[in-house]
Amino acid sequence: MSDKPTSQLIRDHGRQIARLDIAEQRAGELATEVDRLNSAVLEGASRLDFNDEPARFSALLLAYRQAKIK
Amino acid sequence: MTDTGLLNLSLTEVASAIRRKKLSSVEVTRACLEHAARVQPKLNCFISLEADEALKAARKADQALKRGSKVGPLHGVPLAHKDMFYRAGKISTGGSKILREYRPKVTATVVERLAAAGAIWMGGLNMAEFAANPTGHNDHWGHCRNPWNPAHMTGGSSSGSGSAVAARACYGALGSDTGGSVRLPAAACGVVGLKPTSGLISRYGILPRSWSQDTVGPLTRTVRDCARVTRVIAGADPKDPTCVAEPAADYERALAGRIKGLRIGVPVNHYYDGATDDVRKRMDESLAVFRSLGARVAEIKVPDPQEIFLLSSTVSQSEAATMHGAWIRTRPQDYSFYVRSRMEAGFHIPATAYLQAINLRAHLLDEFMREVYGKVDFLHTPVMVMPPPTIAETEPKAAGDVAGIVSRITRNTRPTNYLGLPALSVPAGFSKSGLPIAFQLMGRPFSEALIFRAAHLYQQETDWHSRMPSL
Repeated sequence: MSDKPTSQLIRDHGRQIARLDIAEQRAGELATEVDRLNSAVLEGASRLDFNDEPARFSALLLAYRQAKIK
Repeated sequence: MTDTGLLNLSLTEVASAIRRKKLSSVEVTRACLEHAARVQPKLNCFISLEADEALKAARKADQALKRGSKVGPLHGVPLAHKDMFYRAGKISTGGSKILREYRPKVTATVVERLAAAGAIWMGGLNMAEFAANPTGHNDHWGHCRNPWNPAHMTGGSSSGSGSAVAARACYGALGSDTGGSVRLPAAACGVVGLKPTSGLISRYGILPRSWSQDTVGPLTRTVRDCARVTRVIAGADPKDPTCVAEPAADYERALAGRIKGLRIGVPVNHYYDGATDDVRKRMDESLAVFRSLGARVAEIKVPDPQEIFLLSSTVSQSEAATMHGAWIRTRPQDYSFYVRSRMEAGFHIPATAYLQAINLRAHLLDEFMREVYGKVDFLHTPVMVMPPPTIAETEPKAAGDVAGIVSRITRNTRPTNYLGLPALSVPAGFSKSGLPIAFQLMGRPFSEALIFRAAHLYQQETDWHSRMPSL
């Protein structure tokens, strides 16, 4: 399961799902970029928990807020 | 006072002179407008100059003082802003071709707050198209240029804000920072720039770039000026529910304290990779100043910023692709390839990966807080690892060049946006070739008062912020 996205996948996805026509060379560049980003997410995702939700981030910022300074 | 002397005053100095009637708002505004018109052919920092309206507002400001009316902390002070802060019925281009004639129906909360504090609106400043590049290139409105050497980039996306403030064409400017867009032009142009904690300053009525990571921040010449503008624009806003539900702190008053005993962390990983000798030298010198102020400086290993960088890019590309999707499909020719290529991957990232990247924010923030801000009060790093490159060096020749250019420029700024933490870019001197170099001080959530204090004390010991480019 380590196949990387190909330029053909990006072109097909563009045409069939996103309604975008993508040139062959650009599709190759995008395949590399999508792989780089998607891999970073998948590798980081082992940290995630079933109960996670986006609003936890803002709550955590407040929880960690700097104490009032003198 | 000569025009040069007047233009070289800081924002707080000129506000005080107007309030004490030593200077009138009309003479200050006129001097800025004339200087702006003089530097514009060289720097291209303005998209629009509203001379008549600005002078009319300045006359009203002077009349209000004569009547003895109660005035705000920016009374009569001319400011200009990145051309993406909406005013109902007035054109706001976003630096784009698509929005060349766009007249929003709403006014940004920060614009209302600046006006209520008495600030004068001089005009709209150049910016990267749709706030989407970190260099200051703009194919539709022309590249913005660095006042220290017009062949060099200003940094972006708040390019005009950095250039105009450094050039003394206005006393301060608003910018927006999604991956470094305030700090980079501040650093490249030699001024101060704040990326606030997410939720400190309202984003209502601004052009969006990445909803989850957009922040608004001021660019000014001194830390005190930045503290004043931040106080005016920060605080709860019912129109932006992501804003924290309390009023802004008195950041200017907090400048008066000390930083003795506070701990400054210097990362041993990532932030100095590829740093030039010039940059390393200026960072060492600035750390020596902090040591002399009583701070303790220690090396620290930080959680992998490269991972954070990639997660941040996943979020911003997905969100940008979502908001630009309709125009990309119907009028792709109206985007520069620089900007189009900054969002194209977003169309191919699965929604589940985007949402995982969003949910990972809390985990990475938690990790960063425990491993970094459990041990130190600030992180100190270069904003860029090199002096600002030339415009030609950072001009992409093809879409495939863009990711490399962007990651080289934003590698030290972008992680902070994903984590939502505050960071202040502060001038730290010049390269051998006379180009500005800057450090950023980063801190805990909502630690702007402490960051301002440390940076202000640094500016009391140095004079980099008072150097003026010859134009």
